[in-house]
Amino acid sequence: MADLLFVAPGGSGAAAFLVTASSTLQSRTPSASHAITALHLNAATRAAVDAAIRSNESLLYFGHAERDELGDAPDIVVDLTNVGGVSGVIVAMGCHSAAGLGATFHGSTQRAYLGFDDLIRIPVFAPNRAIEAFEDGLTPLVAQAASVADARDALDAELIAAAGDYLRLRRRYGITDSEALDARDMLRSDTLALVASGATARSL
Amino acid sequence: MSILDSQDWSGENERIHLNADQLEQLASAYHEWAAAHPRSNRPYMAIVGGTELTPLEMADALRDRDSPWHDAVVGIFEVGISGFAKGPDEALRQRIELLRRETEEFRSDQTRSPALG
Repeated sequence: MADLLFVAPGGSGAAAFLVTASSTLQSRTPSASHAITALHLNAATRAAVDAAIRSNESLLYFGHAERDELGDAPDIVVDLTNVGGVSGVIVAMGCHSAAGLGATFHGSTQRAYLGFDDLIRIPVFAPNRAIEAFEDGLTPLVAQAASVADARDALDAELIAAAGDYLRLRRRYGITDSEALDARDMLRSDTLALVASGATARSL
Repeated sequence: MSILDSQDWSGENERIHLNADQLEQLASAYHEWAAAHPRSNRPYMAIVGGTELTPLEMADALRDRDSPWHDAVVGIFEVGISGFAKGPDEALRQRIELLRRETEEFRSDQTRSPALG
């Protein structure tokens, strides 16, 4: 049984939505498969992450990120100095980090990284179909022992499905044709930035 | 075929880049659309990390090459026109036409229902 660390510092805009996604995925994780530590909102401090990182095999992060950092300065919770403490998988639902932190996983036979190497753009409409895509796309990883490579494909498929729904269901969502196209193309852009690296055949 | 028709998209379509003239045409139409938008100053696109852009800020980023969000916004439109079966020129023509039609609708709605107080 691999222990999982969920981290979601929150913040404004999409980072706030992602706390919900983290909570949803935590609730979808079978307790028989994984023990969970969750650090959300004010609990998501560097000290708390450092204390938990070595006792949890994998880390799922939801929030602001840069190439070499997860977190929002000055509250960086993972960077190049502690990323080595994660012995399993990092799932980073934040911008850019697959290009920096994720690159340190290239060639690994034990560790894997799933994240984005560019900005993540999310349409701000209700209902937030995009966040559902993040939740549903990562569910096979936490609930069905999917591999990281399969999780990448599942998240890609869910984002494309959500993109299509914004266009197909635009009347129900109460958005104009142009707004629907913008929403669709924001999510399509996101899929181009989704990257899995390292030992992607492994599961959590 | 309309750009509003469902289209298969795999992410493997060739990425079409807008030239300067195309970008100016799009930015001009988008700015008019954003200025007339009934929620022109409300969040429209969120970037994970806290930044939220309104329709007007999207329009400004599209036009301003020095904007930190220029590439992110242009990329959305380039992805949008890249997957269209009738080609990027027709996709862009329809996209601009749609923006102009909605701009007129927004303006017409504002005329019929002027904001109170």
